[in-house]
Amino acid sequence: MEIFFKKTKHYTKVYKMLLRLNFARLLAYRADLVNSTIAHTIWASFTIVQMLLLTSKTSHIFGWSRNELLILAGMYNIIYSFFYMFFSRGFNQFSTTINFGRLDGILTKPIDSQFLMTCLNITYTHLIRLIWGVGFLAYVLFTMRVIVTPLVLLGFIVLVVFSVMIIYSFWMLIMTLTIWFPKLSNLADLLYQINQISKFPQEIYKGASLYLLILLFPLTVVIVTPAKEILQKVLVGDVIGFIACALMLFIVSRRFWRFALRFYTSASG
Amino acid sequence: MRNLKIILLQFQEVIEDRSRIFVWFLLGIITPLIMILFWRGASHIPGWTSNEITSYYLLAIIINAIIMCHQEEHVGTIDIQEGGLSSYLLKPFSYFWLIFFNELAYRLLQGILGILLLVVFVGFFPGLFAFAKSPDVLFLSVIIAIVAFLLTFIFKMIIGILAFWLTETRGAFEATNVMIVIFSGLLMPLAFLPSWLEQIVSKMPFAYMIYFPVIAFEGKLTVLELWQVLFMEFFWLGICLLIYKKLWQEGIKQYTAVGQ
Repeated sequence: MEIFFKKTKHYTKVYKMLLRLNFARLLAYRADLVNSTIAHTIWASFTIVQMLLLTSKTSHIFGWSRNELLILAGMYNIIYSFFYMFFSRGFNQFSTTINFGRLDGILTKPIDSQFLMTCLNITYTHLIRLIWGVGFLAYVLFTMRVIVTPLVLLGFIVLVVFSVMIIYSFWMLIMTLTIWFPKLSNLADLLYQINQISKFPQEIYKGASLYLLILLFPLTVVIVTPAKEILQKVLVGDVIGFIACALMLFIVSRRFWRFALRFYTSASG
Repeated sequence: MRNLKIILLQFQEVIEDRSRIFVWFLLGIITPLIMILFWRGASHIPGWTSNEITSYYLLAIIINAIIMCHQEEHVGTIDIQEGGLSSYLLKPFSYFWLIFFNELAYRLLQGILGILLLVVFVGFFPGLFAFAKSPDVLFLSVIIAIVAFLLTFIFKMIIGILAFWLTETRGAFEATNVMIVIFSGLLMPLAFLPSWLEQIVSKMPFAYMIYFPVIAFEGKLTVLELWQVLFMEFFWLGICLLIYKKLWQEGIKQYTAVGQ
């Protein structure tokens, strides 16, 4: 237990330093700051415009009303903004780090390799996506006259944390494959597309292949479960299953990374 | 002969990249597949049956794989911003045609994957696809698809060479991608848009990249409408060509590269 607290303290200190360094980098490259803000605004508005257009000629999809679908769009921006802000840049560099043998340097450092691979870069500009998501969600909830109590809000925040954990673990599981296939530098691009699965109700995937459904199941719940919480429609069983799924996926993804490292042969391999 | 050698070289280069090409292909099929599942839960859409919607998206996957060019990032970032263009300018061969043949190789390879997917779907679900049956319509649809490819190529070249003036191009590229996804018919058939928006979008060049080629192959257009589509495609192609030539002439004067 003492070792655990010591490690937590150590990693908190390192992460605080990373937060500061990344903030300094954000201010140093101002053109990139402006450019990234524009790009993230475009994608945040795309998610909302997409749902508005998709629901313009139909009032219900699998029993979900237009407003409920718009909540999913707002929620998608909120949850993915956290994931993109804290982890996506690290995942983007995964294949080049492995392909060019830079993982050697990471493995020799006295810090966990998974932590260094995924948590080193923080992209603050994704905050704009968070602002869009929160603003839009608040607007839709207001029009639906949904009252969010502090307890519901607390539950929602907890579920958002586990949602991010599920997305992180799913990406980690897939990106770890680059140890065996380092040239697949566009695997992260594929995952960005696959993320889209989460912004639609789970019910739409019921007709899809069972294997595909099992594989993509984690992503189909990451937005829907917190959305149900904010609409006060979530069941206790759903929450327990959701948290268990998050923890299990995290453990599996971590073990898979450690297993995959045995096959890493560096740039010369 | 020289052109053929260059085309073959480009093919060789592209085939080396086949695993990545497969991932790019997968990337293009995700949105249409989600959309097929999405519309299954929708209440009745006037003028479209469930099978027609599925057929639309599956054809959109193939048309997108064959027609939609993606060279803008390479042109803008690697060639113009990082200076790769310098080596091409010294060669006795047009940069434009080199990029064109490279993109053609990518499109043909992705098109083969798309056609394989089509064969699999037609084999498993023969009643699902609505194809044009008349040879006239099919012939005009092929011409429309070829002109659509030329249109997307020139359009993406214009976006790419904006890098002559922009120090950061990501915003422009992302904005273009979003507009293409929404207005080209990849997200949904334009007929599903609110009618005022459909009227505007059907006059824009994006609609001629995916939407009109797809509904042409589906047999949803009469011969007269097909000619109208072709006319509009040539109109936008002409405009884009003029813009490209003007921008290239001005941009090349802006271009500087340094080395040791």
